[in-house]
Amino acid sequence: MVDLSVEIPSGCIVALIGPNGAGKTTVFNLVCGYVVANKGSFSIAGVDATGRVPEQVARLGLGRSFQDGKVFEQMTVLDNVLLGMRDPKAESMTAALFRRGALQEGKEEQTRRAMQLLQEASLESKAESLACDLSYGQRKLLELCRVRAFEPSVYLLDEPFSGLFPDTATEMTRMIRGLREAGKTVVFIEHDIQTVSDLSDRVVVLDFGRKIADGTPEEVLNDPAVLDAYLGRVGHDAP
Amino acid sequence: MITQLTVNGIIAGCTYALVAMGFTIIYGTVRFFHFAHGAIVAVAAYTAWAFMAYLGMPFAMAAIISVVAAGGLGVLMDRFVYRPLRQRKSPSLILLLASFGMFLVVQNILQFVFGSDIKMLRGGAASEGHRLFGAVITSTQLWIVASSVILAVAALWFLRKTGFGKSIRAVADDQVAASLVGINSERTVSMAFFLGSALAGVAGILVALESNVYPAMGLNAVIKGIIAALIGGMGSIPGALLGGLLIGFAENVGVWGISSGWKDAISYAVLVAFLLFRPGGIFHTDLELRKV
Amino acid sequence: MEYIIHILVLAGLFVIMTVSLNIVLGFAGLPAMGQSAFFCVGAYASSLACLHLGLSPWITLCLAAGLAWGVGWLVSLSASRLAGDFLALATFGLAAVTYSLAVNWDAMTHGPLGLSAIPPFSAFGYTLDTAWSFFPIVTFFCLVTILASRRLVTSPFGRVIQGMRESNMLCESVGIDVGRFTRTVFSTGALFAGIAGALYAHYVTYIDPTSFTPMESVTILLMVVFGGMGSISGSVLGATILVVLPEGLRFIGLPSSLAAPVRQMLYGSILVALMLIRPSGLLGKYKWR
Repeated sequence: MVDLSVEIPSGCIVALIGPNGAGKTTVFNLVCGYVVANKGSFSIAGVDATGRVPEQVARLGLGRSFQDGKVFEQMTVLDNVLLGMRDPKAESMTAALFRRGALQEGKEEQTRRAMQLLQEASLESKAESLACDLSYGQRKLLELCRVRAFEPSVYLLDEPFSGLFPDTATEMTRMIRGLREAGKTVVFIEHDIQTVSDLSDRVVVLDFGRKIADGTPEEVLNDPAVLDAYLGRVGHDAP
Repeated sequence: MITQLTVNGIIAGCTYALVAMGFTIIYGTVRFFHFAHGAIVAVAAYTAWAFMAYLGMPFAMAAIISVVAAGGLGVLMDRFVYRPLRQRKSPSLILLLASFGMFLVVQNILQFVFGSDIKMLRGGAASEGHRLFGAVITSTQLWIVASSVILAVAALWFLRKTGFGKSIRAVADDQVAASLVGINSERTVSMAFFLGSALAGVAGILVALESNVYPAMGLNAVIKGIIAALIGGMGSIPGALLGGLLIGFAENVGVWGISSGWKDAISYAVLVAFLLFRPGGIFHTDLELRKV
Repeated sequence: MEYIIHILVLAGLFVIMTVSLNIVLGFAGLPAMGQSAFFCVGAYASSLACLHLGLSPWITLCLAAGLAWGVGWLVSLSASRLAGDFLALATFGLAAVTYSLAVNWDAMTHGPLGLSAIPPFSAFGYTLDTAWSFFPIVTFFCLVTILASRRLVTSPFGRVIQGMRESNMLCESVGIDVGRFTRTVFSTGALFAGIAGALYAHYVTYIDPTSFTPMESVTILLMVVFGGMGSISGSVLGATILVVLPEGLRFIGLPSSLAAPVRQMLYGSILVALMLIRPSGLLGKYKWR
């Protein structure tokens, strides 16, 4: 990553695009603390988040999904969502051993909320099945549910649309739009230009770890530098 | 005193290094911990002892036979236990547990057949000692040092100069890709097991010459060998040699003035220090120590 | 009959260690192989405190459990930084060192001679030194262990550690402090092994290092895997079967000098066979290839 400076206002949908190997996922990994940056900084809602470990970054309100629909394979769909709903008090060992009553109350409320989220992704009928039995598209929806359950203010979605059937993609689009309506910020990585221009308010283009364009979809998609670096090559490396 | 401890450390370190080299070659190829490596050390020592005691075979011949037997046992373990697991793409922990199981079986077969009493490989009294900088070193011990260094150099030469080293790295990276470019991955793995286990066999015979033969000898050998391989950097032959010498030196000099029973604790402390502060070992290898 | 109860008491001690290790290994997915080390720490700590300080075994039991917990916590500081196989080896090394200390630290442990005349438990003026009188105590601690484990795994705490078994990266992405949970789980396993160790010491009233060889850790791990990863009833079953089964060897007239190696051979073969045929064990729900 050579040079990247982006300021993202809250409540909008930003697409991060660029040719293969441009460093899109690396940006996510840097921000989330999975990869340590040599220099530079970034902050979330004014709080400096540089050099923190992943779980601290997450607690600052940053939720992310992974490229290939990572879920907790051998847990039920419902548990996957419940794991996203963090409640540090209920998760302590003493609570598990001695405060069963309080846990029971919290559990009903959480389950209701989790089912609500699953319903929005049309996964409620699968709540009790294991996540590894879901189709690829359903995993991606479940992954978004898990991130939503965590209620972050910023969503980083790594290729949420790749490999989805049109129906599931529509579902995904609807959910992402819903996030914007709820005032959340969404940054997503995508290859398909149609989806990018349909969904995003703003597009950032990366090439070789460098930002080469930044603006509204119309501006960016007509920028000669972008056409040259990225769109010019679409004919060769588009899937 | 300190020179004597250093000499003792180097001698112990050489046997650890041999075990570590074999271990590291196998790990470098199949990427799991072959714990039953230790059982092979003991098997080689017992084979040599049995041929000499029961058949009156001369030492050199018994030694060669048992080194080959050790190599063969390694290949058999791979063929009948590890290979089916590898083909099923089992996580490496399953292979490690199976390896522990085999270790238990082999060590206890030895105990069952030969009894748990101590056997001696060298006949008669200990050989004459030579004086070296105020320390005493026996001819046997000189042999141990010489053969370890020669074997380390030979192993390094073999891995660097023949195509074998390259095949090993190719197989370790990606078995399918390796077979696509014409490397017979199963044969490479068998070869690595034979080579690694034969080195363990040599170590077993040297340990037997220097001290005794007993069923549990493999446990100490493999623990020290693994520690040596880890602190040297997994997959690195010079690392294994250096790691072995370092452990041998640390545990022998470290017990200066205290009971020699603390040797194990000292080598473990060295391991923990390495795991915490330099997890890749002396010759840093790019292993994923952290779980993803 | 006395003998059968004796075997059941031993089985009970192993149930405590196996069920608690299952939390660590089967639910949280941490391949800890140091259970015999904490068993050893518990046994020696409780005996020494009893012999030298003259405290009641009930008090030293608590001290020993606390010490085992503390040692476990210290070890977990490095454990939480190691990946699966490295953790297995590092903890196995811990078991080897603990054994070596028990053999060599003469001043404390009397080396291979071991500690003798350890006071047994007593309650209401009765000395609980027979298998029959000790049986209720072991049963009680077994039930406590099983109940506590059930509560742990069916709670949000249990959900988090089962998530860790699947992927640390995913857990971190939802803000779970994986290191903290690893330390908690690991030291809890150590605590229960420490309790089992103390119970064992005051039951047999004589301990020596041979009961705490590092291979004992492999045996306990085998019991977890045999019963089934992530199944508490499986662990109870696994520990009981694997303690009782080798006793059958006595009935086929095997001399006791050979019984030990045959028992270990049996354990080793079961472990290899399980890995090859059914890694998820008898009652395991977790699919393990």
